[in-house]
Amino acid sequence: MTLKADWEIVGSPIDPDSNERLFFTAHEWATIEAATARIIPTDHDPGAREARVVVFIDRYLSGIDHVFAAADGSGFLKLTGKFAEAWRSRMWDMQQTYRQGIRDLDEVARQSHDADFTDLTEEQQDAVLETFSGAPKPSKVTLGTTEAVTTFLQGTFDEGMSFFPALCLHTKQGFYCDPVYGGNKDHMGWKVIGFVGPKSLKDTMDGTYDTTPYFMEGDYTWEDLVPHLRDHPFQPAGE
Amino acid sequence: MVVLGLGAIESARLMLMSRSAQYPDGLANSSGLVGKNATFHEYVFAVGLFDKEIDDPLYGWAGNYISGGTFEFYETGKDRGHIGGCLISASQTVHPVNWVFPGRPSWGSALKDADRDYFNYAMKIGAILHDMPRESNRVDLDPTVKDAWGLPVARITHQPHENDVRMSRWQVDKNTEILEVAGARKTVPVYLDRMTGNTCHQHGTARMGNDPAKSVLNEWCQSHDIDNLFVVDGSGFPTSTGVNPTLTMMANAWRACDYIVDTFAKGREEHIRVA
Repeated sequence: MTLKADWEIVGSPIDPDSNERLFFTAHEWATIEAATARIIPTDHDPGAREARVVVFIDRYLSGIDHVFAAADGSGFLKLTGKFAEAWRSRMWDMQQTYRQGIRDLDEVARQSHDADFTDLTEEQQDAVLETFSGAPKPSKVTLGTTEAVTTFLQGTFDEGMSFFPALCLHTKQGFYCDPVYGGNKDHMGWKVIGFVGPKSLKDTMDGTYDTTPYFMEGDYTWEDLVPHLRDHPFQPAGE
Repeated sequence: MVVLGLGAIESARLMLMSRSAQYPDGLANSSGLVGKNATFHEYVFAVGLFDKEIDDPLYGWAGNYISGGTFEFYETGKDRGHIGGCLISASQTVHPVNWVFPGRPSWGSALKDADRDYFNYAMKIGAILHDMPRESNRVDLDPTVKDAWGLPVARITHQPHENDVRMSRWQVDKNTEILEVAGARKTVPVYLDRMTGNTCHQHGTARMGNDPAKSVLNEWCQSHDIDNLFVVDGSGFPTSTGVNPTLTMMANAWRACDYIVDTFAKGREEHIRVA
């Protein structure tokens, strides 16, 4: 297995405005678009719907052509050999998870409101997602508290995940990904939270992307920051 | 000559898979210790959130992952109830797609508000857990699961040592205290309950020592059993250290390679005398 830097680059960046469906049926597309819009809703800022999260998820689920963007964002890495086999198998599993998950979501919607998920009001959709997830809708983060947790793997990998947690993960990925993957249209997701990312992945490769303006400079000396240095001045090597 | 540098999990797996009539328990395994005493360095930490109505943004993503660290708590403190200690370091909470906020709401307006209000107003102080070796914490060959080539995958069995649990609790509480003194308006301590492998650090599975009955490698990363087998990754570390280990592994591999070139390849043998 050679370095990914040497893998063949195929395809091109995904067009976020595309309405072409590579994996979803029309009904599945509409259902996922509606559900992601409840996971990251539209308010005074854009949400998952405007950022085209559904395009990101459709392309991701469609096969193995959109798994790893090329480092310069010009297209995607071509997966080959056992690596391709493994990803094909993984994606097949996730496709089944989505197909069945969408059917189950509609089933819950029909039981409670006698209509498909897409035909419900936003409040009704939230109620369906609560039932579906088996937990109340998450409440707002409050300050002034300490809330302990135990160790967990801070991963972004979806292998073996059930539908709703996978959908929540993929919605966040589609909202905050590099736009080459089809979501985060016009950096909408990044702008909502104040992350000033690279204009393109190429800018991270050639030094164009620069975060210097976000560094605080000149206000402090090292001795202000590290009092130990006042009594123990830094000795450059070799002196 | 064979030099292994696959990481402590895969080097042990390859030695355990390399069975023959001469080596029925795997290569270099007369001690029975290949794969045992595995240590993994769980990364434990506390996150602090600040108030955007009052505090300045931190823009952690703009800089290096880690902005500062201290060995102030590395040495054993007699009043702490555990031995050893860790490097601790202040760091950013990474990028939007997976920013490190345990307890981040999973969906809805609470999720969007949390990301919008706190992404630029968060930091954490973490510790590389200096976990203790236990013989029962081990890498062995999975009896059922095979890899893509039909070979048994590495199976990992691990239960934290009581000292690991105590050390992580004390240190995470200290990190939480530091964040509170720094003005954090909310803190999220992350305590150890199990090893998840979140640092990807691996050590101990072919521990180094002078006694062939109690160790796999000698002081030159050379197998006690087989002269021309060296293992130069973290496998030889008898304890895990409480720091990021890669530079030490590289320095140790370099030291072993110097021995191979200057001494072993010339048909000589030397040993470090331990008083």
